[in-house]
Amino acid sequence: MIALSEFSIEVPTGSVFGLLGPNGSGKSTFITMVAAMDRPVEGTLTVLGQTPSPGLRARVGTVFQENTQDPLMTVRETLTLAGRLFGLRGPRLRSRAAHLLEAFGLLERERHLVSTLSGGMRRRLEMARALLHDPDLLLLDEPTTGVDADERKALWGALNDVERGARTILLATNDLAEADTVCDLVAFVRDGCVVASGTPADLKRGLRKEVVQVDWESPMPGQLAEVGAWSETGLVIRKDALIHITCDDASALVPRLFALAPGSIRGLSIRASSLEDAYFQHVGQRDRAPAEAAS
Amino acid sequence: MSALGALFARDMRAVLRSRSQLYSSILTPLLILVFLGNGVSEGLDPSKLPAGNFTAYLVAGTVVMTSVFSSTFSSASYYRDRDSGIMRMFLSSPNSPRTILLGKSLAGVCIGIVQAMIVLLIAVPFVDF
Repeated sequence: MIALSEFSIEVPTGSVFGLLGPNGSGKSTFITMVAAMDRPVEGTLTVLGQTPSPGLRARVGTVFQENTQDPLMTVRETLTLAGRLFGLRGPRLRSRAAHLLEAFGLLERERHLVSTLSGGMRRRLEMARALLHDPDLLLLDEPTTGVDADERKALWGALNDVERGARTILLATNDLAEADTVCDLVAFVRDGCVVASGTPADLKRGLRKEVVQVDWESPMPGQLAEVGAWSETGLVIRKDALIHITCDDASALVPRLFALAPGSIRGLSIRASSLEDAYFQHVGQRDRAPAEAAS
Repeated sequence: MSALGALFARDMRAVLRSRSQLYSSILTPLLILVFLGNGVSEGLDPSKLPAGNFTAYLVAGTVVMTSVFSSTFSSASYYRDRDSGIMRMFLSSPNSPRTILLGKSLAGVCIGIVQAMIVLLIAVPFVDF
């Protein structure tokens, strides 16, 4: 089975690079290879100027998708163990651990068992653990999965405070709003291939200006095809119970929609185009049935 | 060396924190020696037991059994580490799998020796060493 193919990216030093794609698209496989825990069968992979090797791992910090903590250890012990595994010891280890515990709001919980921490606190501890040895490259594999909005904000806030552009970050996520906010560059990944890459602004540039999200009761395929054929319309995509229509001028589109389907439209909202729309254009395109995706 | 010591210390601490493992590893040999040994000794003809009583015969077997239990718990810790995810952190560190294996195995060996010593101490009142 081929997990990655036609996968070519270059991550500039000091940048935050986002890998965006659905579950199973190959993001975690790539992260594992960059972390020197797996090898590509073919192709070339250069990390921090060298071929991945066990020695390189000392310069890489990894936050895995799942927590990597022993519930029977305390927060402080978790960091001490990680620090010693990465070659830290003595005063440097203690001061670095104290700094990160404070930065990630865990100093008061340092003597508590990991099993008593909330999910968000565990993710913050993961982040502190990955940054402990001051790596040149930080790999984040869906670091905010299962974390509520407040915790997510706290986590990114703490990371920004600690970071201030100190290292290169490779972020694998399917949270597009998060990627749009924090990433300098992104690549859309689909079935192990990079289908598009660039800055979020570049990827959004080709999009229509606005998106109309329509709560449309039982739309007929013919109606969606007709909307897609209008000159002011870009993409027409069904996502969950809503129809997403990209356009340049929503004020012209909306009256035509009501005229096309009187009584069937239960509600709609208008917003500016986002990275999510660029993502659907590149990655979601193959999912759309022709009738739902006339463009 | 630091990594080896850290893994060793962590596994030793894990055993001390796991009350059920700690108690069962001490109570099981204690029950065998005190109750089984004494009980069977009472039912036997003492003149046919040159070493004094039946408990003495159980000591060697109990030491071996304790070592086997210790090995089982030690190998089970690999599965626990894999399930908790911490094994991925170990493997993402610059240390070789050999170092990780050695650090954890040393802890298992050390725990086995300590438990065997505890069994021998428990056996002191019953056996004429």
